Formats: sequence, structure tokens, C-alpha cells
Amino acid sequence: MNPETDDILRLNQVSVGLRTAGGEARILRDVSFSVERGRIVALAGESGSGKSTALLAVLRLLAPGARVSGEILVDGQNIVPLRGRRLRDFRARTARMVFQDPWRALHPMHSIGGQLVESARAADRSLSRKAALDLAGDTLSRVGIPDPHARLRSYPHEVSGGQLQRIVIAMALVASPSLLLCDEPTTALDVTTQAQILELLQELNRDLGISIVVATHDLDVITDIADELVVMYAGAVSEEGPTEQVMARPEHPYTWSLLQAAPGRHPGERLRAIEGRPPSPLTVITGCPFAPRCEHRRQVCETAPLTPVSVAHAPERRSSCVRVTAASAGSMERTSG
Amino acid sequence: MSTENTTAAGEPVLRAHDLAKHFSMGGFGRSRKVLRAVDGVSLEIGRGQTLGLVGESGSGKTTVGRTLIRLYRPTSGTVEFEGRDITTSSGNRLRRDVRRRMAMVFQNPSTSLNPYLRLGEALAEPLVVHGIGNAAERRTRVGEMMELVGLDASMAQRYPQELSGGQRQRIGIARALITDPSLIIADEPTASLDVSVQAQIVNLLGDLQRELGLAYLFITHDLALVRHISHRVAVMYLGRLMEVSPAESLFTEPLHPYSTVLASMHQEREHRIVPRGDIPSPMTPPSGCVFRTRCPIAREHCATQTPPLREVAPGRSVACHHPGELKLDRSASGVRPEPVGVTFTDEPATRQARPVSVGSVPHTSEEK
Repeated sequence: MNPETDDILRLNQVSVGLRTAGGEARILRDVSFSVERGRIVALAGESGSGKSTALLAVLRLLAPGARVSGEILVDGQNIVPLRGRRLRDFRARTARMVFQDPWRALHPMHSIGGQLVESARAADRSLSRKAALDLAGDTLSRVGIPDPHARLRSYPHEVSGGQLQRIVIAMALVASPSLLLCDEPTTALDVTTQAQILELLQELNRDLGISIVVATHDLDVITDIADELVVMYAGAVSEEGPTEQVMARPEHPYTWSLLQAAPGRHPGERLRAIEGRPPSPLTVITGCPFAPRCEHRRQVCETAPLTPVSVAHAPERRSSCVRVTAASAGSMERTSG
Repeated sequence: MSTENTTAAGEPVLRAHDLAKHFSMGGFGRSRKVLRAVDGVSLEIGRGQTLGLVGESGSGKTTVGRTLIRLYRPTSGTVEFEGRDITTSSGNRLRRDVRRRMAMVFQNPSTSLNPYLRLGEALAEPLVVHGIGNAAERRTRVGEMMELVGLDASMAQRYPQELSGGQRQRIGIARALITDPSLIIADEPTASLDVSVQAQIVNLLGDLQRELGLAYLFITHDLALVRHISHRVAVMYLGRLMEVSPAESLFTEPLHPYSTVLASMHQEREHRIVPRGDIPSPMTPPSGCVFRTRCPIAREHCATQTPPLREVAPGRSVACHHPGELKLDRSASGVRPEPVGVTFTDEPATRQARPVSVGSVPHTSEEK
């Protein structure tokens, strides 16, 4: 499919729809992006942007009734048609998830050790209980839990939030997955703890080579650790590119507005709010979904395609803003064809 | 323990002295457990000023807010509001002196509005409680308030679930303002909102402050936000105040090591000071200085002597034996870098359709 780059994850024109009482909700609209092996990629966007749905779709954890079209390739294998035992094995071994709220990610009535052992043995059934317990202890120590072997006997309520999130990460790591998906892994945590968890994720990426996708609403938090940034809006990708480039020079007015709206860049001034709000997933969008809120909209925006294309003056970047990519329209080619 | 500072404009609207709020967590006799949620907190809020109150979870910042508005009765200490001692006010006096003049905006506008009340009814309720006006006057007042917060008065007939999160928070603010208060206690009012909507609400709060001369106690864990909106900032940790300083000085030259840690979080990664370990349980706070277990510069005597909050410079108070010793890396500004504006290829001559960036960015500087 894609011989020139080694992608651990690749989404090709993925759409997710959900039938609701109000009509067809379009949660993801033609989303394409890829994660190169060994990289950290951030999916950034506000609520309703589809970033969490994209992660859940990769693990096939979407609500029953959700209709997925397009291809999701994990390690070259399309996981959309997986069922039964092969789906279970995929979830247990290949891709693991770290959820936002560590208090809800662990079972309150089971010991931490018990949950880690279960996780490890789901991935490798040949592992003995004893070996799994050793692995659990070693992994806890790897994620920076002091006195790991004592912790194995603790229950989740006995542990602080930052420690719990480390334990949730350890629970994913015991399976040696090739892909770690993190949904707002630091949002529920305090600032000082947040910094610790982000450093841990980066260490794991560097030392173990594990590929990581992080969904976040906070661009500034993720800048330090993500290699690539995928900005989402209304279920579609607005732009993507190397994090530093996107942050320093956005190629989509939405990214720019989002950076401007955050406090901290213009002390003593009014914040630059984005007027209006994102479209409901029930609306049928024609053209650029951000256009109604964009101060740079033109007539061309009404018929703009949803899918980002490469930017002529910055070959590593892709943007869905036609006003950015227009001039190159003749010579450009879709990177996700 | 002198914490009162001279920089707050004029007579403060609210003054708390040595405030404590302890909760009994069960147990009898020797095993009786007490949570000292707030201890020895002294602060003032100037008229028309914003005092930011920052702290991590379990720091007691919400308890301070609720004690000041007298949802809790303080365990000890005093609260003075508009020149009156309201520490033990109750009944009609509490309603007249406190509840009409001090109002609260809550974090989650979805749960702080009654889903069965039309917005107009929810807004008129404080007027009914306080016996203000007749039905027609209340309707007029509700309409005025909705327009003041940027909503159409015709929305009074709607129910909360018909509104977006940002609109609901505007209703929460209108409800707080309807009895014409002088002080608003806002407890994480934007924490459940997206960045783009948060900016709308923060701007609204700023406009209202200028128009109505409101004072705010703005409780938040968001450091960039607190720096943006506060005149002064109080930093809490495990129920105690660590530092009270003007917002800019706190973030550029913090005095307390914990303030330094917080301020460093906004600098580039290599300049950050990440403290070790976790926040201890508020049930069993460390002896001496509560921050010492995570403090990079803790000494032996920090474990035995509790540093009092004392004024070390005009308008700046700190509770540390070694104030100013842990410094920020001076080379980092702490202000996030400005991105370059989007380049539109279809109109290369004008670049931006509207001047939207500051002059320091050459890319968009033609408007200057």
C-alpha cells in the first residue's frame, strides 16, 4: 500500500456516521492521516472535533451502530473488517489505549497487580501468572512508581491521580503494544503532574520506540512532545505537519485562531475569541466547515473540498484551506490518494 | 502576620483574616479525623479588581470561595465584606448583606441551571428571593441582563438544554449579576468550555468589570488564564496561601518556590522546574512548611517551623523561609511565541484580509 514510508497507523478517507433521532450524525468526515513508526503524533481539536472518535475507531471501540467507511491500517493490516478472536487479539496485543480519567480506567475492586497481570496475559497467553506478576512489577518501576512490588497489592483508591495515570500507562505497556493511543492523558491531572506524565510518554517513545498518538484540546501542552500535529475541526482534518512548523506558522485560519484564542500570548489585551461555535454533526456541510466562523472566508470556501492537500510553499504540510493551497491547485497531488 | 497590602485600589471590598475551615471526617476521640481544608488564609480583594486564586486539586481554593460567600461558616478567622463583619451572619442579615451583594458563578453551567426552569424564570429567581420589584419589573430586568451578557432577550422562553455551553455560562453570569453585586466569586467558570468559547466568556467578564466596577475572585487551575485576567494572584497549596502578588510579578519574579514551579510550566521545556512526587493528602499534610516534601530548596528547619505569610515587598506576601531563592530562568520570557499569520496564496499582495496580528510580526505589520 505504502512502500516508501513505514507507517504504524494510516487512516484512509475514514468516515464515521451514527444514526440518531435527529438524523445521520457525521462524527468523522473523510479523515486521512498517518503515523510513522516510532513517532509521536498529536490529534488536536476542540470538543466535537472528532479526535477521540478517531482514536476509538482505531481500536474498534465505537458505539454499536456506528458506521465506519474507509480504511484503517495498523501495521499494514486493515482492522475495519476484524471480528471475534482476531479483533480481541488485535486489541490485546497491537494497539492499547490510555484514557483521560485514570479513576475510571481501573477497576476499583481489583488490585493493581491483578489488573496488570490480566492485561499482560491477555496479550501473551503463554505467560505464567508468576512471570506476569514479575513483568507487572518491572513495568511499574519503568513508569516511575516507587516501591512497585508493594503497589501491586494496592487498590486504585489508595493511589494519587498522577500515580494512577502511570499505572494505566503500565497496564498498556505490559502488552508491549506497537501503538499507544492516549485520549487527553493529562487533562484530568494537575499542572505539575501533567508535566511528569508528558515526560514519561516521551521517554517511553524514545527508549522503547513505541509509537504514540495523543488526542488533546490543549495545543500548548502537546507541543513539547509531539513530532507531528494533526488539527481537527468538525470531524475533518484542517491541517497537519511537523509540530514546530504548525505552531510557528499555521497553514489554516482555524489553527491560527485557536492559537490566538488561548490566554498567554497577549498579556493585558482582550482574548481573540472565535465567534460562533462549531457546526453540529447533524448538519450537512458543504465546503469548508470552518468557513462560517472564519474571518478570511471567500466565495471559494463554499465549495472547498474537506480533505487537506499539500501546501506548495511547505512540502511537509497539508492544509484543507483552499485559500492557502489554491495557487498550487494545478500542480498539487493528494498525499492521501 | 501582616498580609494586607497597600496596592489594592482604595478600600477593599472584601477582607479575610486568618481564615480557617476544617471538616470533620468521622471518628471519635483520639481517632477523630479533621481535614484542614483551609488554614490561616488572609487576603483582600480591591473594588473593581480581580484576585486570581490558583492551586492544584485539593489545595482548598474552592473551599476558600465557598467560605467567603458564607456557604460555609468559617472554623476561625474573620470575613469582612463591604465594611461589615459577615463571619457569623445568618438569616435575613446574611441574605441582605452577603447574598445580594456577592454572587457565585459555577464551573459547570449544565449542572448549575435547573433543567425544568425556563431561562427567564431561572434569572428572575434571585429577584423573587430578595423581594426585588414586581413581575413586570423583573421581566424587564431579566431582559436587560440577557442583553448585557450578549444573549437575545427572546431566549428567556427557552430551557437550558437548548443552549450551548458558552450560552449557558452567559446565563450563569447574568444570574449572578441580577441582584447588582459588587463581588463575583467565579469558581473555574471556563474550565468546561473550549478555548474559543472560553475566550468569549473571559472577554465578557472583563467588559462587565469595566462597565459595572465589579470585583472578582477568580478561582482556577489554569495559569495562563489567571495571569491574563488577574490584577493580583494568590497561590494556594494544601489549604494554605503560599504567595500573594501582583499577577505580572508572580509570573516574572515569583518569590515562593511553589510559585516558581508553577510559573516555570509556561516556559520552554528545558527551563521547567518539575517537582518530584505527588501532592500529599490534605488529611496528612507535612509538618512545618506544607510544600517542603516537593520543594527543590527545602532545608531541615522547613520541616519544623511553619513559615508565616508575611509582606516582603509592597503588595507582595510570601510564606517561605527562603523567599526568592528559587528563581526562574531569566532567558525565558514565559510568554508564548506568536505564530506567523496564515499566508493566502490567492491574494499575495495584502496577505491578511484584516489586520489581526501585532506589530512585532513583520509578516502582518503593514497595518501599523
